[in-house]
Amino acid sequence: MSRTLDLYDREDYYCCLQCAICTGSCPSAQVVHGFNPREFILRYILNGEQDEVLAMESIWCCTTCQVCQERCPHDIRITGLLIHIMNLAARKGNLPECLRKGIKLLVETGWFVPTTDRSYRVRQGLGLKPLKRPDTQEISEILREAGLDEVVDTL
Amino acid sequence: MDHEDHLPQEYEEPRIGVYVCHCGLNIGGSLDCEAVAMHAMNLDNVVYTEHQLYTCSEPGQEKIKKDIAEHNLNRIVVAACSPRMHEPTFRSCIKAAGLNQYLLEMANIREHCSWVHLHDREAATEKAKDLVRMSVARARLLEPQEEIDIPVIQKALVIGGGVAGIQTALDLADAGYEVNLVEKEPSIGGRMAQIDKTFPTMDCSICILAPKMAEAGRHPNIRLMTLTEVTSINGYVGNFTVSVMHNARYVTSDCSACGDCSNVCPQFAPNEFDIGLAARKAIYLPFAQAVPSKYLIDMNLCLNKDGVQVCEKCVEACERKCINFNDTRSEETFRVGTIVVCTGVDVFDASEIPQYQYRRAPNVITSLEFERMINAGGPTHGHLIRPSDHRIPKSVAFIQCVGSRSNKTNPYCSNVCCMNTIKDSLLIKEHWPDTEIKVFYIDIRAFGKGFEDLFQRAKRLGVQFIRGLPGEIVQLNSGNLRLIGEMTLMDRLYNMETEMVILSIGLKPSIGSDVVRKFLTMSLTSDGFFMVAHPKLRPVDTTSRGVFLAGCAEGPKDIKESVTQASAAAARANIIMNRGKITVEAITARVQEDLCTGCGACTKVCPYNAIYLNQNKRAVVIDAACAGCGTCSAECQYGAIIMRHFTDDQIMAQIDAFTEHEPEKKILAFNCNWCSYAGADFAGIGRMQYSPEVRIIRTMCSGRVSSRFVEYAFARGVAMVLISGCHIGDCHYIDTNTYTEKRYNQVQKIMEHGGLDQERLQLVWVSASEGQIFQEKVNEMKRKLKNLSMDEIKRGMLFFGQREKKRQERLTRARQKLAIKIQA
Repeated sequence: MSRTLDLYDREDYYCCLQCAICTGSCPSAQVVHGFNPREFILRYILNGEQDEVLAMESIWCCTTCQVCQERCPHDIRITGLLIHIMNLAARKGNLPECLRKGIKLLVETGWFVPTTDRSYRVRQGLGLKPLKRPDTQEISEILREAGLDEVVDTL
Repeated sequence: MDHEDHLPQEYEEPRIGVYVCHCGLNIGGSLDCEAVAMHAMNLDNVVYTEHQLYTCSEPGQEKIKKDIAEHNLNRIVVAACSPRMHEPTFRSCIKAAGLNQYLLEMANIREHCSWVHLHDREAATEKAKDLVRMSVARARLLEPQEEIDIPVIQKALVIGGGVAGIQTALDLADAGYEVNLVEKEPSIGGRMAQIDKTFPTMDCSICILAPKMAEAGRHPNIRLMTLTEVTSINGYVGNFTVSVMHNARYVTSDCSACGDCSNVCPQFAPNEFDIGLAARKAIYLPFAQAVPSKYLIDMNLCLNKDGVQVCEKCVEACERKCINFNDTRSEETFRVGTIVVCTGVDVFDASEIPQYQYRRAPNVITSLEFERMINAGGPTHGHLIRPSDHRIPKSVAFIQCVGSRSNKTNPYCSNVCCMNTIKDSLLIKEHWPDTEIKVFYIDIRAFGKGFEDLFQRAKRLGVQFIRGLPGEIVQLNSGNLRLIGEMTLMDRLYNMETEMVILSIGLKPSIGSDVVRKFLTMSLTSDGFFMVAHPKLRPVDTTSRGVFLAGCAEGPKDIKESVTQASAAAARANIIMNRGKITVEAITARVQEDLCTGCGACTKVCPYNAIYLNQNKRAVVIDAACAGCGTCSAECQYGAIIMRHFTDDQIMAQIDAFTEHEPEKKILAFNCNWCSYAGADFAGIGRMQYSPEVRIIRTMCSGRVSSRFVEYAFARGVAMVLISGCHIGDCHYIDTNTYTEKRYNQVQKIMEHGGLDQERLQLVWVSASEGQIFQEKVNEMKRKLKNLSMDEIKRGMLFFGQREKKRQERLTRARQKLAIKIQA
């Protein structure tokens, strides 16, 4: 397991009782079939099925709302684990199409949700100045610095 | 009892016999026993030495006895295994030969030498010589000690009148002792009285408890005190002085519990016994089977407050004229020999977990509320009804581990909830067989006799067990509840509706027990319950002698276990009281009055409150309460406290003997008897090889290790010093190892100030099973020792030598001053 997990005592994760309060509390699990925080701890940590978990598409359904770790009786940082998993998965190329598009837009335009002609006209009508374009070069660099260079390169 | 002077006896020249044991090949195989015996022969005062194959054998012991007579020996040194192993053997051996048993010293050349240096015969032999030399040095200064007997008052105090307290009181009373049973509630009975049925036999709880309560109420040897709280406990084993406060009942003992008063009383309040599910009056009987069966008045509720009488209804209704508004609380003091603490448990407050909606949704109740509801004498006359609409629910869900096994609430398993739920589910099935019952759990723990059968019975009757706790409970408009969670065995989410939810709440230490703890200096384990002296071998003793534990005060447990513990505690208390006296091992502290300045430093560190300042401002030790840790002695700046059998002089003599030969190449370790010495023994038993530079001096507690010993060792040129004790929290003497840490830090600072290498002094916590930690520490120190320069050691000798000199001067001045003061 890499750096992110080293921040925590690994035993913090191993003490999971599999009580499933996390899954029962998870809003995403209610709507996405196959998204199950308990199972991520079971498979990724307890069973060591790291490669399999990193290849799952459903990992991206975590909204990082943190209800699971708020209610976990053993204070396991489940959201932290999922963020870690998502980071690793992204580097391995497991990035859903919608997010890929979003990052592409971020690199190209500087906005995750870019402005449109319509928003430009609305701003004009309200007497607002046009928005300044962000420095896309800098954003790419920041993404690379953050370790997303492989992701940026694959775009 | 205050200390009496037994010593010193007339001085006689020590005539020491040294016996080096081969222990078969255990010792003889790894070092040269003959050479060790030869070395001993050349030491001062040694008049006889011998090396034997097995010293502990019958012929070995006979030889010692014979030699004592033949050579007129008056001190015996046995170089063999750990004193934790055979000290009692050799003590009784020399006692049989007419010597005082405290004139024995053992050199541990097996666990601490031959077994840990299996492959370095030369170094092991040298080390054994050192160890024997140190032992002989100590033996020279050994003094005969008399163990004293202290009288024991043959009366007992039992705190708490739950089933454990009742059983303890009955057992002790039947054995013939006078028992004071104190209960803070108006009736005895405790939690068991509130429960409907017991698992696994499904007996009616109050039916089996009520006869015991009644017996405790009328037993001629039991003084039952309800509505009474313990306000102070002083003293020590055999001689406790207890003060209690009797709260006013406002109803005299003539009450026949007819209930006429209650019928006319206009004031209502929630009934505590029914957890607020029913109402009671201001004048009330806690419950039908209450013992004593007497009414009481809740003055917070009664209209007649502060002597102003506005309502006389009860007074008028009472034919026997039992109501007394002038009743006041009263204090009482009595003396007892032993104390049994049975303060029980409280239940977890489920509203601490908001997503389970307790106290928000009316149809979410706790398991204890369920017990009252299903009880025929309870508020709903045995009907399980929904609080929202008083209907009998068609479906019920139990949720396990509410407030247990969680870092957010209580980390421990509450032991009883699984079986309690299974029993509850069977009770529902018994009354209303069509009820749909689901139990949401993490693990079902059915570990006791007959428990698994009950679990299977519930399953056969169709109780559904679903693995996976709900994440959330949502209240619907109908009053029904929606449970959202995951069945982990099926990898499937559930989202199901139920008419009622019962939260299986955990147990937590009783609020009242904290008060008792303060008086008794009992320790708590990390879960907040009282700690026993040993979790396996002394399961009802506390670290305070003469104080015992029974029931849930020690940890959550079921009725059977509570009763078992209660009888065990009664038996243990009986052992002390039956003899009428107790023997105290002669290792207690003794104050040299003429040296005591009355600064009181010792009184602050004693974990047993065994030392106090008398009216003349002199420290006095209570022998019966003193456990002999020696922390007071280490704390005393004036050398006024002598630890019998572990005196400063004896330890200094050991250091002197240790430093006679190449101290700059060696490590001196101070190990406490209970954890780290045993840990080093364990390293030997496990044959964990470590560097042979280390020599161990045993003290009872690491708190005995005065900074003076450490400084003196450095002044004598020792390369490195290791102090080792029990882990913080595991100290055999409650918490005296915190002073070890304090002193370690002090010496570290002094070394920093003197520009010395602070790594020369090390501290390590080693439990009795952590031989490996001791091994690693010694090896680590050996690596550091290699890089230590002679120059550094010499600087240390100079620096600490000067400090020791100054200390001596200061001490002399202080003693002169004191002598003048005493004369005046």
